[in-house]
Amino acid sequence: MLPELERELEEYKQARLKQIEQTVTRVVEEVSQEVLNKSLSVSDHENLVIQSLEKAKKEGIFG
Amino acid sequence: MDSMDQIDFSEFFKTQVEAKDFSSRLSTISEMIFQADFDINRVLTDTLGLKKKEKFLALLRDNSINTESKESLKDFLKQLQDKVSSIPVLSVVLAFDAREESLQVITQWFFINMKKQMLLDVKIDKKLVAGAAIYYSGKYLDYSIKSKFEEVLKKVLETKNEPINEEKVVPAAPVQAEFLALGRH
Repeated sequence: MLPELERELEEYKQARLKQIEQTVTRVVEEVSQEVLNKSLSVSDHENLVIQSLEKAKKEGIFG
Repeated sequence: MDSMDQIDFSEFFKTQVEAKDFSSRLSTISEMIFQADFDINRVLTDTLGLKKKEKFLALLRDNSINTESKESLKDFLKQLQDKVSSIPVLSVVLAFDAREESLQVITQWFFINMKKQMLLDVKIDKKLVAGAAIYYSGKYLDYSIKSKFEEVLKKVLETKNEPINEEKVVPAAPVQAEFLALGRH
């Protein structure tokens, strides 16, 4: 009985740890996305948009 | 290429919504032309506002339109409306709340690099982090740094999940610098 309980407990623990890890990863991803987004100046954003347009132009997207 | 192709409308509008509004105002002016008390200066001020009135008068002069000739004026307004409706629309998703100046930067880029104006249909999605995604001619293309950002973040998180080893600690500042450099290739 005891080994069975220990196994179930370990499975539960691993499942919960995995769940926590996924949640933490998601939160870190969302927060870091937002922090980086906000840390850029308008001028940085404009430059990166222009670089996006340059890439699109190189690929012939605009004809 | 006729003279209409050379007109930079960006002082009047940059977005699809603004272009529709401008065209609607041209219709209003056009409807008034043959009224007995038609006064081009007054009508332009009332319809476009003082600042745009001056720009519109300059546009009339640049195209040698005789404002005394109601027919010429009406024809020119019609040509302008046709031109406005033929400007292609570029749907662009940005990662920041673009101001008027930012839209001007994008519009000017098209004038300088593609020799044409695009009507911007702007949406905001901060999950793109930076850069832009565009929808044009039926194609959606994501040129934002989102995917690169996720890739770098994944590597950082994997590093953090490894047993602590001082040699593998990634300093914070260079990571951000790497993100910033992603869109500049």
